[in-house]
Amino acid sequence: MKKFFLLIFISFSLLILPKTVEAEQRGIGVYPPIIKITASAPSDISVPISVKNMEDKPIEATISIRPFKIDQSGAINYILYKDYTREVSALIETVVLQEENQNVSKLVFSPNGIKNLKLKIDIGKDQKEKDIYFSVLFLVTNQDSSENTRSLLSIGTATNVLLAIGENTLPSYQDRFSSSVLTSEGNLKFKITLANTGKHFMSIKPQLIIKNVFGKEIEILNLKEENILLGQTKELSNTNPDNLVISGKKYYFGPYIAILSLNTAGQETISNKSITIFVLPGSTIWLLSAGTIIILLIIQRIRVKRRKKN
Amino acid sequence: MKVLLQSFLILSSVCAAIITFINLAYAQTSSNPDYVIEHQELEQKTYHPENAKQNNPRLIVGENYQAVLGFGDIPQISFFSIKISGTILDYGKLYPTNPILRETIIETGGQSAHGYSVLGYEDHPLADESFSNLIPDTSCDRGLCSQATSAIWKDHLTYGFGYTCESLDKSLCVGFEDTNSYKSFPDASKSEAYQPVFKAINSENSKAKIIHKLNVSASQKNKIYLNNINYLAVPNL
Repeated sequence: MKKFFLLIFISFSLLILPKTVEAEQRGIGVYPPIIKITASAPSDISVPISVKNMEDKPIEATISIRPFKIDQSGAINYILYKDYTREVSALIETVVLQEENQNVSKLVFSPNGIKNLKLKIDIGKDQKEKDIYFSVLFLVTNQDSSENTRSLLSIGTATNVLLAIGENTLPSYQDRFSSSVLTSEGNLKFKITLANTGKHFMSIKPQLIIKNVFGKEIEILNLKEENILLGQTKELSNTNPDNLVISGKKYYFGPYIAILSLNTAGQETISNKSITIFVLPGSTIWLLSAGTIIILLIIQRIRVKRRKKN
Repeated sequence: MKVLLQSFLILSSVCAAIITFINLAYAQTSSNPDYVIEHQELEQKTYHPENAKQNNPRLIVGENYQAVLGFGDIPQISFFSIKISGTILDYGKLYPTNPILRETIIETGGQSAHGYSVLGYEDHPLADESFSNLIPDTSCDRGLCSQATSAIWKDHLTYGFGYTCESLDKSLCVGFEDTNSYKSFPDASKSEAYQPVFKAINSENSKAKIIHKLNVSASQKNKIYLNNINYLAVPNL
C-alpha cells in the first residue's frame, strides 16, 4: 500500500514540476556572409545569395533589410527604424530579394532545403555618390506553443552588403606601422593602423614579412582581409585582444627588418613599408649596462688620479 | 660609492630616455612597384580596386557594377550558420522567490567569415496575453545590470527575467565575468539596440550555453506570460 501511494506521489510530482519541453533543434545558414558591390548610376544589380535549412525538419524564415553603422570597435550596430533618414529609407526600398524572379519576404524550406535567391538593387540614374551598408537578415519563425509561461526562441543569420555608389574614383587611406626599436628576445609585436580617407569602403589584404639582416625571410604573416568602411580607422590584430600583430616565431639576438605589404583582395600590391628592429637578449642589456658602469668608473678614477698628480 | 651612484643614475636616465622617447620604430621606407619613399611621416596613397579576373566564381561583373562574394582569403565556400538546441523555454508554473533556470545551446558555423557575433534581443518583456501584466527584465541584485552590462544576480528576492552566457567551444561570451552575472535582453518594442551575447574572432565554429533565469515576486499575478527571444548570427566585416 505504501508503495502504491509512493508511486502516485512520484507520478503527481512529475506532472506538476516545471520541465523543459524538448523542442526540435533548428538551424539556418547563408552564403556568402559578405557581398562587396561597387556600382555607378544607373545600375540594376543582381547578386546571388543561398540560404539553407540546416536541419531535417521544414522551417519558415522571414527576410528583412537592416542598414547598419559601425561603432569605434568596428562592431555592427543596426540603425533603429526611428533613426532612418529619408535617403536611407529610399535606398532600402530599392533592395529586394527574388526567388525565381518573384519578390519574396518569406521563405518556406523543405528539410535540409536550399533556396537560391537573387539580391536585386535598382540604382536610379539620379542616385548621388554614397556608400550604404546593410544586412539581409533571415530569421526563422517560431510558432511552437505550450500552456505554461514560456519564451519562444528564434534564430537568424545575416549577409552583410557593402555598397559603394559613384564614379570609379580611387579611394585612399593612411597607414601607421610601428614597433619597438629595441626589444628583448621573444615574439615581435607590431602596431598597424589603417584609416580609410577615401570616398568609399575598401578591401585590403595585409602581409607582414620579417627578414634577418642578410635578407632571408624568417616569417611571413598573412593577416586576414580587412574591409574598412568610409571614415573608419582599424587597428589590425592577429587574433589577440590587444590590437597588436604578434609574430608566430620567437626572435633572438640581432637586427631584423619587418616589411608591411598592403595588397588588394586580388593580391595586387599597393605599397610596402619597412622598419628595423634590434632584438637583444635580456642578459645583453644588463651586460651592456655593467660594461658602461665599469668604463665610467675607470674614467672617473683616471680623472681623480690625474687631479692628485696635479 | 658616489661615483658608482652617479654612473648608475646617468645610465638609468639614458635607458629611460631611450625606452620612453626613442624606442618606437615607425616605418622608414615605403614602396610599391612604381616608387620608393624613404621617410617617417604618414602619407596618403591611392588604391586600385580588384580587377576582373577570368574564372573567379566570387566576382560578378554586370553593367555599371561589380560584386565580390565572400572573403577573398577564405577559399572554403560553406554556409555561415546558426543552430539552436530547442525552440521553446517552458517555465512551468511560477512560484514566487523560486528562480527558474532554463538553458539552451547555440552552435555557429563560421568558417566562411572572419569572426562573428551572436546578437540577442526580445520582442518585449514576458507579458500576459492582454499585455496588462508584465514580468520586468531584471536589473540584478544591486540594480546594476542592463542589456549591455552584466552584474551579479543571486538573491532570491531579486525578481525579473534575464540571461547569462557560458562559453563552451571557441566562443567568447561578451561581458559576463562570473557564472552568476546576468544581463537583461534588449527590448525591440522599445527600439533598444541588439547586444552581442557571444562572439568568435576567427574563421571557426563555436558553441555557447545560454542560461535564462526567471524569478517572480509574491505580488506577480498568476497568469501565463510569454515572449520571443531572438539570436542573430552576424558575420564581422
